[in-house]
Amino acid sequence: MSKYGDLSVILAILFSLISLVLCIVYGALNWNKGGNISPEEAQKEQSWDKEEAHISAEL
Amino acid sequence: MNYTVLIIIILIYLTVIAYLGYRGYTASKSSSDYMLAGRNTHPFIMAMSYGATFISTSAIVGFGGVASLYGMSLMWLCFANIFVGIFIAFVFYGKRTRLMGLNLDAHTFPELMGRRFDSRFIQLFAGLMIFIFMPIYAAAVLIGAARIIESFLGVPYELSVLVFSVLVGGYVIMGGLRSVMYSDAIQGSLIFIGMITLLIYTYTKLGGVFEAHSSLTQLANAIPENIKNSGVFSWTSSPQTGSSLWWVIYSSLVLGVGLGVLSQPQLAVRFMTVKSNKELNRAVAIGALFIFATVGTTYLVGPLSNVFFFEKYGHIAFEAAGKNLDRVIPVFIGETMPIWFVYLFMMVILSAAMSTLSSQYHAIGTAISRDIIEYGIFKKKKIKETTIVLLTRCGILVSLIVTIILSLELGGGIIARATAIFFGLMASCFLAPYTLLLFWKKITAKGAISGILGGFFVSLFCFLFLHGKEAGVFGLCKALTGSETLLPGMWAVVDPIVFALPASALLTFFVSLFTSVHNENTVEKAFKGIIQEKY
Repeated sequence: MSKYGDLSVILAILFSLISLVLCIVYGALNWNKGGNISPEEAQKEQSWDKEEAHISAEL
Repeated sequence: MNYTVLIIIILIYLTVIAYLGYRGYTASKSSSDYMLAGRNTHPFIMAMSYGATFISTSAIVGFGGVASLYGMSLMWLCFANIFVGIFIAFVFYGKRTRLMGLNLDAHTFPELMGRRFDSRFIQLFAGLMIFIFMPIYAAAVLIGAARIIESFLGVPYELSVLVFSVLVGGYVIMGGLRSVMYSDAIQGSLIFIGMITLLIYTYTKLGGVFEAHSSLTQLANAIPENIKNSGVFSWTSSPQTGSSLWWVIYSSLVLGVGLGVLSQPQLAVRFMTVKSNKELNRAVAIGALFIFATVGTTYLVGPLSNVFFFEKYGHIAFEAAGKNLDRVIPVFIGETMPIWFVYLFMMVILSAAMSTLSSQYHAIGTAISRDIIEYGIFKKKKIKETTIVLLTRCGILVSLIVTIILSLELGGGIIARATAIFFGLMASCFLAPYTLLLFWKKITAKGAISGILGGFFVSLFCFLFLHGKEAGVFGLCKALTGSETLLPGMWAVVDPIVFALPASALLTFFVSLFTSVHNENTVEKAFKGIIQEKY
């Protein structure tokens, strides 16, 4: 054990930092990806918009 | 402390929250708005809401206090919170949960599970689990907030519990999930700023990172004898492998909370509030930064507070806090930080408690209205939209009352344990079925029900007969066998999740293997667009 702690604690801090970097890199690389909505999803959203408009009218 | 300044700051803060509550109210027209914030949440709001819901007074006050006594090995929980709680949760669980929730038109976590299997029982059971057990976790959060208000403002504990919970309940009842998420974003930002400031200030005051850790290592002789006997010989090292505290840290805290986060209903529902995977991709980076700043700070500052107290008073943090772990962080802040930071920290704690508590009230309220009443009792009969929203508001009111009663009844030092119990129980019951329903078309309703009930009953058996802390309280084992727990020694400190989660996973998998899927159409509908999803 070093004066800064044993290997287990040092690894825990190191892995936490590596995970943080992994998440930041993943977020940066995929920042503009995944925005495409399938036609089915768009259709579903449209039908919900109509349903919500109907509900709002009801309210 | 200048109480006038503090009260003015709190009033400004509450005015902002009230305004956001009103904004949520005006934007919530339907049950989809009220339960899922209209499924078009901004990625920053979603990430901060997820983080602020995840991180509560339990993490900052409860786990900070625990870290002050058990040491920095809790940083393994920080790693689990980031890698499992953010990366795995968003990238692998979040995207499928979002699309499957959309395909099945699910509004709550129990509804997602129920609709995936066309099983009213699963939805009703999951709703009941949330209704019965989440108030314990909510009470832990409320206790943390009330203790802080009591410490800093001198307001009696009972009055703090009452006023704080009514304030939070007010804006949740008014604006539903929109209000919750709008205010979460503001509260999350405050928490982030406060915790980063605390981390920098602590290390600066202790002479830098290496000097601080070196000073803490040299304090090994100050560790109380009972803690040494339990396996902790240094606050900068892991407990002795196999010792009682090794099991507490790695089975209850790291495994229970670290894995349990994946099947938290109030967090899983966040994935269903965004429009596309782009929001989830962006939220990964924002969420990880937030989690590192909050839990990383807590698990580092908790142990380091011992250096402060030892240099100033000659005794450790636990003793400085009157031997109540839940008071370590508040006392540390009050004793060592400048007055402006005490004001900021007060806002941080209020924010951490409000953001988590509001989501818990919302989750319990929707479980009562959507999962128990609408689908469990009325069996999907067409109920008017206005009635659903009204039922949810009544459900939130019920959860508020139950939480207040529990907060007044539970004892001191309970925050971290109550949180670990809820996280562990939800993981034991739902993690295996939830994981398999997202990734495996062959999972059957019978398999999922076996896994859920198996996890629940194994957990219950452990709480009653094996795990010392709960078995001692219930007293059933002692009444039947004469001893506090069935198994001696180390087994009494092994968390129930160690037994219950594998049991649930094996039951779910093998029962599904030997039974057939009866709802192929629903399965195809659920997986529509998922298989070709670009990761």
